[in-house]
Parts: sequence; C-alpha cells; structure tokens
Amino acid sequence: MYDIVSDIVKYIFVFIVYMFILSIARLIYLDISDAKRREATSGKGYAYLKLVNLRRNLKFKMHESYSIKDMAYIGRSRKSQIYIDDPYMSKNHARIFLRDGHFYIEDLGSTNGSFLNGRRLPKQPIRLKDTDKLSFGNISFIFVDNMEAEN
Amino acid sequence: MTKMRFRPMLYITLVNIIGFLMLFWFSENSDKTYIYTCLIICGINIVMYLLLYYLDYGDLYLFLTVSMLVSIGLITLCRLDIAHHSYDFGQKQILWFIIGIATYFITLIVFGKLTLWNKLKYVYMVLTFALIAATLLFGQVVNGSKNWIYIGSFSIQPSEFIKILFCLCISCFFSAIPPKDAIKKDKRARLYGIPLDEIIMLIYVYACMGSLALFQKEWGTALLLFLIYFTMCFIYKTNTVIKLVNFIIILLAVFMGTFLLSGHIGVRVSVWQDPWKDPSGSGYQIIQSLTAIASGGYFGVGIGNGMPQVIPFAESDFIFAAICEEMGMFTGFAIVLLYFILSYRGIKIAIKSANTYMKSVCLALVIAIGFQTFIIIGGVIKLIPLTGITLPFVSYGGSSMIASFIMIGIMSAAALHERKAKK
Repeated sequence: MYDIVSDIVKYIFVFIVYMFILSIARLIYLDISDAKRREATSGKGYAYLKLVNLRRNLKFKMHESYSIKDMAYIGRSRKSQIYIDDPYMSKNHARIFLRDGHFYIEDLGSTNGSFLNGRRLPKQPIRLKDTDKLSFGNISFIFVDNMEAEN
Repeated sequence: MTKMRFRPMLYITLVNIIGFLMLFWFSENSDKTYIYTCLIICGINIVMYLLLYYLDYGDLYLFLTVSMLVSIGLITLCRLDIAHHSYDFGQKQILWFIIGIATYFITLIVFGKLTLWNKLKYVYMVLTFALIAATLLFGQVVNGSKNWIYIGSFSIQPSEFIKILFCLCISCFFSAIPPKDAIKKDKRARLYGIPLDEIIMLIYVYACMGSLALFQKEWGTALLLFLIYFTMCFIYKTNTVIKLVNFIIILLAVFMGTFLLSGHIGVRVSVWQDPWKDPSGSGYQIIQSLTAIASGGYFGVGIGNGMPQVIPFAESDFIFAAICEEMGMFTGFAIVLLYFILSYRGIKIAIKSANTYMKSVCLALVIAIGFQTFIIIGGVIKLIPLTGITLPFVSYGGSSMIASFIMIGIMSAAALHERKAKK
C-alpha cells in the first residue's frame, strides 16, 4: 500500500516544486514589467495625468502621476501604459492620443464608461483642455497639458 | 496581485506537508515527531514570510528560494534519520535553521545600520588569518582534511566563515577600483605602475588559499576562494599584469598539483577519470552517488523506497545524490534552478545598488554561492573532480547553515539600503 501511494505522490511532489519555481518566475516577471511600464510613464512628456483620489484609500497599486508622450492606453490590461487594476475598469478602457498638437481622449467601448468633467464620453474622440477632469471606474485624474501651460 | 504574492509560500507549505506525511507513514510505529517537525518548519516559514512581507523588509525572493531549499534538505535529512534509527540530523538541522534565521535578521539590521564596513579591510585580514591559525592549532583531522574545531560537544567549521570574511575583504579592494569612464581619477598608490592595493590583495588571496590548501588540505574552499577572486578580477578592471601573474601562479599550481603533490589531488583526479579502477576503495563514494542518481531516474523511486543511507556522507556533501534518488532527477534540476533564481536576485541587487562597496560585496557573495553549488553538484554527478564542500542551505551542518544565512542577510541588507535610498 505504501509503495503505491509513494509512487503516486512522487509525481505530485515534483509538480509542486516546479509550480513553486513557476510562481516565483512569474512574480519576478511582473516586477520587471511593472518597472518597464513605470519607465514609459515617468519623466517628462507633453502632458500628464494627476491622480485626484487619495492613494492610500485605493486597494490597488497606483502612482501619483502618469506622463503621456504621444499615445497612452488606459485599462486593466497589463499591456496598457497606464495600468489600473480597478475592477470597474475594462481591459482596454480608453486612450489618449496626440494629433496636430492637441490631445484627444477616446473611449474604447468600455462597460462602465469614461467621464470628462462629469459627462459621459461619446464614441468619437474629444479634444482635451488643460485642467480637465477625467474619471474612470473608481478613480479620477486631472489632465495637465505641458504645451498649453508653456504657451 | 496580493493572492499571487502568497502563492509561493503555499507551495512550500504543500511540499512540507506531503514530504513529512510520507515520512510519518513510513517511519516505524508512525512516529509523531515528523508531524511536529512539519508544523514547526511550516510555522517558521509562514511567520517569517508575513513578517518580511508586511514590514517590507529584506528581499522576499531570496527568502522564498532559501526556505524551499531548506525544506527539501530537511525532508531528506529526516528520511536519513529513519534509515539510521535516530533523530540526529533532522532535529539539529531545525535548530540550525532557527539560529540561521536569527542571524539573518541580526545581519540585516547590523549591516544596514552601520556604514563603516568598507574601512575595515585590515580587520578582515587579521580575522581571516586568526581563524586559519586557530584551525591549525586546535583543529582535528576529519576525513583527511583538518577543518573542524571542537568546543565541548559542538564543532565549528571555520572555513565557512573564512569564506565570508574573504568576500568582505576583497570587496574593500575591488570597490576602490574606479569605473572605466573615470580611469584618469585613479589616485591609488602605485608600485612600478601597478596599484599597491592590488598587490596587497594578491598576496592576501594566495596566502589564504595556500594555507587552506597546503596545511589544512581544504582544496574545495581554496578553489572556491580562487574562483571568487578571479571572477571579480574580470568583472572589475584590474591591472593586466596582475591578471597575468594570476594565470602563471594557477598554471604552476595545477602543474604541481598533478605531478608533485600526487597524494590528495592525484587520487581525486584519477577517481574522476575512472572510478571503476578501485570501486571498493577510493572510487566508492562517487560510484555510490552515481548508482543512487541512476536508480532514481527522472521522478525518483518515491520517498522511503530508496536506500540513501548507503551513500557515504549522504547528509552533507552527497545530499544531492540522496535527493536525486528518492525525489528524482527533476527535483535535482529544480534545486539547480532554485540556485539560479538565488544568483539572479543577488546579481540584480548588485546591479541596482548605488553604494560601490555593497555592490561588490553582493557580487562576491553571489559568486561564492553559485560556485559552491557548482563545485559540489558537479563533483557529485562526476562532472568535475570531487572536492568536499557543503551544498548551501541543503546540507546538514550548523556552520554551513549560519554562514549561508549571513550571506543572504548581507545581500538583503544591500537591497534594503537601496530601497530606502529611493524613497
């Protein structure tokens, strides 16, 4: 009896040891991709989003500000530059892009919608102005345009 | 995200529970000691992990890999205990693990608080030679090498601590070497164009190695010290003349080792080339180890079904063979992978560290752990000639366990230092 159980258990044992290594490798990978994403949204861009909420009240990890160079996706997907792990966000929630010297925001068909100064965004892109208030899910940002501020 | 942070600890706990339940079932009259052992080790691991996680203290990955290695080692040691009808290894190893964790925290705090570590190079030198001298005076010869000091019922292996002092000492010299783009600012004193520092270091390194190898017959540690020094020479931009001198000395040493001092090294090399020449004498250890690994196959024979007790030194030097026999070659691969992760984290900490001394200490310690693993696992599987050295964190032994935890403690202190500097 012992032999049979021992024979089965040895496969489980090896499997768990490898699952452990996999989970560690995954955590290390996430740390690296976090650092890379942070690199893409830190430093000086043409504009930046400033968090309005108090960071310590949030259950997920957020930064105080995210700088935007010419294009930034916002969402719960790990590929998006502004990654927010809020359950009320969609995977690809919205995007902000630069065209002809002006920033535009476009909702990418999110479930709970994006709000600009309290009004829900329509399908087509809308031009952003300095100090506009943007809200997605639980959190709000202030949009600051560095180019307009310099002018 | 937070769920994922606790998953590795869950797997460690599962491994412990499965391993010790099998041992409990396998042991005579279902010995309850193994249940208690399991509870103690799981408790320590979980409490330590939560402490480190919520205090944001030290490096989590280093701790996780280390606690997995200790767990696998402990299961193997308890298995050997059952075969020997005693509690020698398992019980003491748990004690060493607890003491090791305590030293880890002490090192973490002491090393993080004080900043004078890079100014103590002559202190390290004196301590190194004091330890070597103490071993020569009070040491006893065990298995052909004089490397144990007995104090009452305890025994210490000073070479484990010499290794750490050596790393701390050579890092003082290496961190003084300016980086490549600031080579003109090099203001170190020179002798015939060679920095005086590097000459002192060369003499120190070979004095250590020479006394360890010739007087104590500790070839494993001597080789390890040389590998640390030589690798660091190539990582840092040392003087070309110094590198050439190293090459010449080591060629001479190899020549002398193989032709003149044929006693100790010669036997090991000939055993490595063909252990079957003398299967019951000098080749016995390596043949037992190879047979054990081969009988295990990929998934092992299962805990309790093998005969790890016939391998000589199955608790210390040959523990890798004992693990491979019962838990399989795949667990062996996993152990090598765990050391990979450990080295990766160490190198990552070294790269990120802004303090030049911490950087080079981290590098030296990582090289020490990596090469130590390579030397012993390579020896056990007959990849390189066998030299007696412990497998860090897995092998039985107080000195080895405490020294390894000090090494991890210093690395974590460097990581902590960096994280505090960023805030």
